[in-house]
Amino acid sequence: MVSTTTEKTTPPATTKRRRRRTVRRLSRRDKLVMALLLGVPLLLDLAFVWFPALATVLLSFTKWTGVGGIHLKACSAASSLPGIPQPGCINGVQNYNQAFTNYPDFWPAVRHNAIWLLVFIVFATPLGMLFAVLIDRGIRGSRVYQSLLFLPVMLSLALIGIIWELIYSPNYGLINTIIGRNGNNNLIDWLGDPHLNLWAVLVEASWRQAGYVMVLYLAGLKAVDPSLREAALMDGANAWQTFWRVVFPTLRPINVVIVVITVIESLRAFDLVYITSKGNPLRGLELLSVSVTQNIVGETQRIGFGSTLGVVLLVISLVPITIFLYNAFRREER
Amino acid sequence: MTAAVATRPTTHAEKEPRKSHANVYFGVIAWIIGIIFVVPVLFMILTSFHSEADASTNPPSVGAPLTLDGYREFFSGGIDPWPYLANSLTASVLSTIIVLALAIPAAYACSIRPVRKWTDVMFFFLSTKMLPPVAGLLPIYLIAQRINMLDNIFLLVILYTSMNLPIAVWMMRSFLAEIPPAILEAASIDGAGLLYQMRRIIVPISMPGIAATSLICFIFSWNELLFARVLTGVSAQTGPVFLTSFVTSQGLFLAKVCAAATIVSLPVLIAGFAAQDKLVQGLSLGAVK
Repeated sequence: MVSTTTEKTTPPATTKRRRRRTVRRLSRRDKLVMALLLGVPLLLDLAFVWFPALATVLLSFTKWTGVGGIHLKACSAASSLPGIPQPGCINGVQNYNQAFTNYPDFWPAVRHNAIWLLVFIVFATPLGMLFAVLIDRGIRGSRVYQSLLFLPVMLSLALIGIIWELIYSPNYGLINTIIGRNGNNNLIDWLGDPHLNLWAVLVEASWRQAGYVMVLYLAGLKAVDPSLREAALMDGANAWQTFWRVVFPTLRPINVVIVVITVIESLRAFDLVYITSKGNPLRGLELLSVSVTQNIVGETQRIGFGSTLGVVLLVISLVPITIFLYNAFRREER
Repeated sequence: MTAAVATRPTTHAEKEPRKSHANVYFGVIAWIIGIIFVVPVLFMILTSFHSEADASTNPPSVGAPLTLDGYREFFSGGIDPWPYLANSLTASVLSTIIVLALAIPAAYACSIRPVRKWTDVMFFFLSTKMLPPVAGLLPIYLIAQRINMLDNIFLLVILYTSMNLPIAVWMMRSFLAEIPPAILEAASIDGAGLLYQMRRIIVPISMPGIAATSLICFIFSWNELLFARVLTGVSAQTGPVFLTSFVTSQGLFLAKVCAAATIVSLPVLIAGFAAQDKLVQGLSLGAVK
């Protein structure tokens, strides 16, 4: 690409020959440089992101406490001496079998991850979109308004958990005070009650997610050609029709990103629950990512089984990744 | 004024008063929601300035006198927070510097002098960002355990670097793509080498972009909890990990906890508001330019 542009700008024949030679010499060295420029970051990501993910897949077929090595033997063949840490062994699909059939946290965790996703889709995303449209349509003080909504996006999820613990606190919290349930006989324990805590945490998560979605849609809306909107208004479309029939379809790239981000964020949900449950399992708040960590940081390390849960998460997340990449490449080919 | 009205279609002008009425109501409702949005943060900050006695009353005493006791208690009571904040700073700043050192050249190779198949490279980077971090946690934990890197802040530096690289490459690519190629062509005709071009042309021109990229990497590293929680123990704990254990042990001292939370969130709030508009590029996984 460089050589073609250089050729165009060099009219005299003598200099042309000389420069072409330098370009070619440079480009061979450049190739090496380029390989280096891209290779190091690529290797880093391969080594620290993709390799561990693949290793998780392999580990998920083993039974291992993390102590001693892994023997390439089937677990059924290994002798079992109680009290002595066993070396790892090949467990086949037993872990998966166990996860699906008799791990008590598994199905609640899957259900809660799914509810998380659903709430993001039907509540947080439309809310964020509404905010974006309001700001884009020039609500009074839109600059400050945008900053207010952007605030939770920057805060760490750990911090969000702490802030909301304060708000939800049965005795000292704002919510119970406002709705008059702060007496000792009628307290609502928002974060402790297994029927309520998932929804309470989802309010926290949506609080942040709405701001995130708002930022993305706002960027998309700013890029929409104003003449499109004017044309629609001229043709007699009202604001509602203009948005859904004219503006929204042009936001397609953003919509794809938001779908992907929504799925990723709902699978990634960990920090909020970790804070709320103080690191212990809490009824009503089982999540896949929490289950994975509980299998390794606890007293009994179950590396193989924890990996199995990680693989389930991995497989689910490959769905949005594939959708995104498919979309991206299709857009490019056109 | 009259001229401006005259150019508009008359039907539009007739609708104007009713529409603006609706807009006012809408605006008021939107602002009420917006204010409800910041109440949690304001409540935290307010509580951090209350005395412990005022912080834990039922109902909350919003109008209680302000004091710095919570902050004083946080910094000088039993647990010294500085080592943890220093760890966070080390991990965030170091990883951000390494990310930039790797991402700017990589972005160069994908924008200014694009290699063949540069789009594949970009999407590979993006795919790593979409993987849930927890999927790779176990092997990283095991390897770190074997090579004695657990509870070592440099492990987090490396992990944060690889975690933020994709975002940084995507952001930097879009910034570098805005540099007019003519400038670089002119420089290379004058005999400027790659390194010289980087130092004297590319970096200075894309400085605002570099600033935004470093801020977003800083924020992400500063806020990270999962890896920091699992891979650190005592000496390498970062701010958020410290905060979580602080809440567990000191949870009853609301003012102190709020002071701690405010302190830990201060760096990212400053960084975030400084580059609010530019951060979009990073947050959108590179889809929005």
